[in-house]
Amino acid sequence: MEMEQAVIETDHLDYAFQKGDRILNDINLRVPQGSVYGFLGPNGAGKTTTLRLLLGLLRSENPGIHIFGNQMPGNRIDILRRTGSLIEQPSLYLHLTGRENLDVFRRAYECPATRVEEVLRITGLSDAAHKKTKAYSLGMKQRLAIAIALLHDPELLIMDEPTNGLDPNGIIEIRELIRDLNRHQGKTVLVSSHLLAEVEKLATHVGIIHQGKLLFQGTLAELQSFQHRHSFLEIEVDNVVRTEQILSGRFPVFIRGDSTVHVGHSKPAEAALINHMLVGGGVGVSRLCVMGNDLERLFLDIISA
Amino acid sequence: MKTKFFANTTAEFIKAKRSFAMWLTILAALFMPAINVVILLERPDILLVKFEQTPWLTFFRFNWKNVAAVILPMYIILITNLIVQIEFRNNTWKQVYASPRSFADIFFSKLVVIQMLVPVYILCFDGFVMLAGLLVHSLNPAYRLMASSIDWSSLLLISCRVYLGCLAVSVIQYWLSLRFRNFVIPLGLGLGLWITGIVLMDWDKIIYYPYVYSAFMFFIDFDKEPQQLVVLTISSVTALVLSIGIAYYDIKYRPERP
Repeated sequence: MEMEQAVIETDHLDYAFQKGDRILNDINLRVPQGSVYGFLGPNGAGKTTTLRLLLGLLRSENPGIHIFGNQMPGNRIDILRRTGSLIEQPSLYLHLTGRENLDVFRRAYECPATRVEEVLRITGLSDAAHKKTKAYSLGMKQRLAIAIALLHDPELLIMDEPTNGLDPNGIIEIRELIRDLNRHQGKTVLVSSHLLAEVEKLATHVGIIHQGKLLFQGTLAELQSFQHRHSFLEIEVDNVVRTEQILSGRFPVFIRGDSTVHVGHSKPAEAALINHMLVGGGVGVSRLCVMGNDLERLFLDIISA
Repeated sequence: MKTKFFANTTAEFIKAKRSFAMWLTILAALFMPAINVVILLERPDILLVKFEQTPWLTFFRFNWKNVAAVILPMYIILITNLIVQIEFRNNTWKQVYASPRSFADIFFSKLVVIQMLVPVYILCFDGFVMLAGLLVHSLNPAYRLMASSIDWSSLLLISCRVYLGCLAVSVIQYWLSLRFRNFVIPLGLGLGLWITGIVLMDWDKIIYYPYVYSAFMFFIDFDKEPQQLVVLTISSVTALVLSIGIAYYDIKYRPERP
């Protein structure tokens, strides 16, 4: 990751809406060119605040935001000319048609009128372009918001929870669209989400934010490797006290009930060793399974660490 | 830069399309002439005598007095709120500020729309006044409106003076509408400031209070007090320049975009 050129870089980014009430704390975001960067965090973690700072929607004296190598907000217009965005729920003029909405923003982005039809086609809205957007479903509104973000054919897309509120079909559509924009049109995408499984399916890189701090940043492969180092075995035994005596010298052991213990381990081979040690020590093992095999479990472990 | 500003101002007009702005403009312009037609037709016993000398000028002033003092300030308060609320209601400010437009472009392109709608309102109102005059005459020829020539210069003079007087208020109301997401706040503040002006009408420092300028532009007899026209014109222009400067500075340097 360190070798790849970064499109977005923040250097010790802090932010507080009020003095003393720090929302972001020392965020060093690094979004590599050509990546789909999943910006993960629970609600209220600071994702939207970070994205709003990146887009210049929050005024910050912090000089540590660089996009395309240019400082934000100093080079705000140059940066925004190369950046498409979708922040929180879709921003649409509901009394206007889909095409009129695009026409409004087309003028701001200085694109030719032909581009409106192109983005309608890309987002699959050509047939609904003449309808007022208040008649659109949430999925269609979300797609139109993406169409607006794509109007000026930006190199970077910043999307805040683009699948929020969508049904499973809508989530798949948006995911496929983002994937296509990244793979076939070479766009770098920064997408925030609290839907962990969604990010796992979409992202090449992941940043995990919690309570204003960036707790993890790396590729998806690095996250999975991190996951193995921090997974647990759940073991059903006939004697939890004896189990703790046998394992506690080598592994972290947490008693979770009369017959259940959680044992930390760093690689799959250690599961066999743990089982061998217990059986050898006279403990009856009735069940042994690996916990924390999904990103969701790891995410919860990271943010509750 | 000029081309881009023009393009974005056109976009602002597209946003106002199918909103209530145009209806509000027409209905507000129609309001007083319609009421005055009824009044003139109902009470010729009292009013005919007033229309004997200069029927058209009297008719213009009969309509304009309520507009300059009440309807125009109300219209400005409502229309600025309505135009700015298009962004708040649709949650589009963030998309506007995340587009590659300078703050000046964003601020002034919307202000241009408001500054176009106010003259459109005045033009519509003047047009409806003319039609109302013709209607009154056709239903009661005793008013003799058709018998005399239309006093175009007086109508133009009243319209221009009152428009100049209301310019600063339109900018102040625009600023308030941008400042507050909740539309009730700029609406309440606007009404409060206007009522305060009415209450303080006799105050010797009232010339520093922009909310009364449009009323003064109509009610002061400048033939008798020509120096007041100079004072009011300078005050109106100064208030306009100051309100634009303060509003733009405040909006540009706000810590958070809506």
